[in-house]
Amino acid sequence: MKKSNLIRNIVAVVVAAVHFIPFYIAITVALKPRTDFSSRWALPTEVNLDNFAYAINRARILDAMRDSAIITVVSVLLVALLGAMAAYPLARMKNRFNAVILKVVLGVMMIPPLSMLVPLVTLMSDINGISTYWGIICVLVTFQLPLSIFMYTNFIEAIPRELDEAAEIDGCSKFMIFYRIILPLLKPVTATVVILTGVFIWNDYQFSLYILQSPRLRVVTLAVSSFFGQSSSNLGAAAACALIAVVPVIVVYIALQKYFVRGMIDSAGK
Amino acid sequence: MVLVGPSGCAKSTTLRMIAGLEEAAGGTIEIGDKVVNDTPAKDRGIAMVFQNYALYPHMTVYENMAFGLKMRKFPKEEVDARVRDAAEKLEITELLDRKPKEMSGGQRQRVALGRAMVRQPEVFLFDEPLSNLDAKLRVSMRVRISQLHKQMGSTMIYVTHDQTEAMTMGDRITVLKDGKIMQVDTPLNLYNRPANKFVAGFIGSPMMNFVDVTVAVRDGAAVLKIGDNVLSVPERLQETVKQYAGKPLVLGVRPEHIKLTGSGGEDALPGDILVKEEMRNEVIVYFDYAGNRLTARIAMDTEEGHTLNDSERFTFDMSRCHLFDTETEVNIAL
Amino acid sequence: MNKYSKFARQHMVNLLYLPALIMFSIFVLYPFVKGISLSFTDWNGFSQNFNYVGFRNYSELFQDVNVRKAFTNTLVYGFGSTLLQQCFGLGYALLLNQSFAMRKFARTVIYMPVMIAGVIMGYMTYFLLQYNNGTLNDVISLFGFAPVDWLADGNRAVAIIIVINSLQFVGISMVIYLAGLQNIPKSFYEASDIDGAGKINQFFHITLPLLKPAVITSVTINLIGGLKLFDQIKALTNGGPGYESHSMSTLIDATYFRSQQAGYSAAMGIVLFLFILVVSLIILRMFDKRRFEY
Repeated sequence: MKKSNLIRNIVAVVVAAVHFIPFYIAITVALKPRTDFSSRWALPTEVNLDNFAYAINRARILDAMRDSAIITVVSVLLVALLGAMAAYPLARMKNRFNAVILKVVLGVMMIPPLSMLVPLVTLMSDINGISTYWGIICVLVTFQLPLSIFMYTNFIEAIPRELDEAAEIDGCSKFMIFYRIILPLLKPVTATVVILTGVFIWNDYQFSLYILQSPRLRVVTLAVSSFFGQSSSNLGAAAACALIAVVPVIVVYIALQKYFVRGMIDSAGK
Repeated sequence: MVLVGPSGCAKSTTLRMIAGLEEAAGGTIEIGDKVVNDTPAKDRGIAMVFQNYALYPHMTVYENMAFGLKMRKFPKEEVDARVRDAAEKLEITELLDRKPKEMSGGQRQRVALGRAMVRQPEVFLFDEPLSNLDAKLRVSMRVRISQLHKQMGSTMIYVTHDQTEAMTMGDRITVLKDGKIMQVDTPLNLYNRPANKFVAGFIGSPMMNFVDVTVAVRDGAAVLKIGDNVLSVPERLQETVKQYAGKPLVLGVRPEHIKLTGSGGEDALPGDILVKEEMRNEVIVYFDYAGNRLTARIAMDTEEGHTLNDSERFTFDMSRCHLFDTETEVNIAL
Repeated sequence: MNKYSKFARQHMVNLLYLPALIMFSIFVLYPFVKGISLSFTDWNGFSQNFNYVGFRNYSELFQDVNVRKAFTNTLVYGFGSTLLQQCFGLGYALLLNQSFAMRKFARTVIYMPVMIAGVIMGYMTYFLLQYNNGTLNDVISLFGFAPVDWLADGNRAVAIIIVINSLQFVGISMVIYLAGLQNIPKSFYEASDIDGAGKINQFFHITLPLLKPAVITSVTINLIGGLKLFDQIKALTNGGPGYESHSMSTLIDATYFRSQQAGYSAAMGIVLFLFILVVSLIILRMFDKRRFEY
């Protein structure tokens, strides 16, 4: 028993170390000044925060994080609200039409964003949505809605219909049933939807790349990406930029770990 | 009024149509003298107690019971008064601040009852409310509901698949099978005067015995032939049975109407006893006769040491027998 | 109260999905239809005039060497990533399926890269792959090998991208398999112990069959993700050298942005969508028929 556990411990640490390597390297590169050409495996002899200052000032990474935050929060709220609303009739009123709608919704999940991007960009520029908050939010929400609708529909289907019927006899209209009875019961799924959608939107690159074309509205992924392009000779700053972008997500992840993992499993149960 | 019948007989569906939760494909539903087919459930003046209670999980007991009244914009004081009154009657006052998941099945059922009571509806609907409770709770809840009925005086329609529940609680019972009404009557009449074979077999435990017999006419009187035996037909049924001369019938005998006999007459049926269940004052006997498996309740004081042999002779009390047409299953002995 | 208001009353609740439907119509349906029509033109993306060219775009792209390479790459990215992630994901899950000191730590660290953006992960691994001072070159030079410009060879670049992508997202498979493993009742293993089965037999006859639902889920998620791969490729090679490491997604991007052939890339987009649709339907068909209940 003890011996096999020892082996497991060693193997686990090795595996974890391998997965941690990119982060480790980024840290060492970020903490070394430009003049330090030592191997990246070696820790810096002194901790140098110049790169971080540079990243914050030149890449304006903090501004990008603010923009990302605004977009993510608003989008997540909309995805949860519209998703739950849409899921209620799809879960409760089972007829052919609704079944078709559900299939269509699922189909949207399969569409690779790049297939849509050419006409989508044309549309957005026609309605002046390029480089606007509402433009990117609308697009991101639309493409995250299917997962949200799917999860809410499954969850609502598991709520006994008798609750709806009791509320109906108690005097509720269908809307009130949704608002007063169903919605309060959706808390667990909503947590999952918020986490999954939030991470996805925060990390979005493909849609942001096409819709946020002006530098005055940039998200974190775009900021890091363009900074890397600009700083091919100052990799330290680039690494610092990437680290700053990644730290908040990791902190939140470590704090709420079990919700993240459970969320993944729940959504995978399709 | 109790709606009773086996699974799939549409008793719940009927109840839900009365409630307004299902569409009636044809015909009319009247509550009072108002046709309510197109009236929504909340306006029909009904309240319903569900099989799995359907309590709102995120609300306290108080809020659950008050919900219906709140939706109808009752004044706060009235709501409070009604809720507390019902809570007292059901002995759940201490639970008013709790949530459903913190309570036992019996408590939840009382809350569900209370939620219906506060509405003071014209019609109370019960959809198998006791099915999920254990046996002891079931008995005490049955009593409670019957008391409630007397106190409130409203119409109660009660659906169950348990014929014992139906017989003890019902003023009138509707027996349903496959969506059709088999008989509507008082419990006693259903037991003593079942209209057809289904009702006869459904009501009463242990079940009524059914035996295939052939009608013959002997010396001008109708008799029933079965195996090597011949059974007499009571005077009042002679005319009816004679019409079936030469044809088969189904004879129905309740277990308590089978007796032991020492005689060897043509109406003494020899039976091979399979199982004896000895109660204090009677023995329930399962025996084989002429290819039939029959059940009898024999009164016997077992404490005195009386017992039965492996084979005995039995007779039927023909004055209490029923006869069913083999095709229509109608009880011709009424 | 008449029949019509009853119908309205019952069905009005469907209005609740109207906002979602409206968004789908505007941002999915309309662009999709527009995309189809665009694919029949020679539009360059910004000028006012364009011509309808029928199926020319489609016939061109089936013969386009770059498109063929990108299509092959897409398949390789998809199936390669999926294969790697199933093997390692299952392996990690088996490793972590027992309680031991480093278990939680390992699980946290392995799943962590899932949280960061694909494009950022790509840039971070760039530091490992650089020719000068790249960490990978540091390691192999320890063994006496000459440094390699890793991303300079198209096929090698594709392989590396597959490894990086798998490294990042294997946590998802691991988590799915862990859940699947924990759902297998211990009584199966106990019964087979009594029957005399060894560990290997147990794995192949009990564990694997009972993991089928997890496998289906994990494969589906990984495959669809792998076929759509974009972010990491953009970060590491941007499709290069030349056009050698493009996936269909990145090629569409290059064609639209750099070569300014909107009509052509729209046609590519349609082909990619149809391809993924077919793959998804095949998977669904294949796995729906074999639902296991235990």
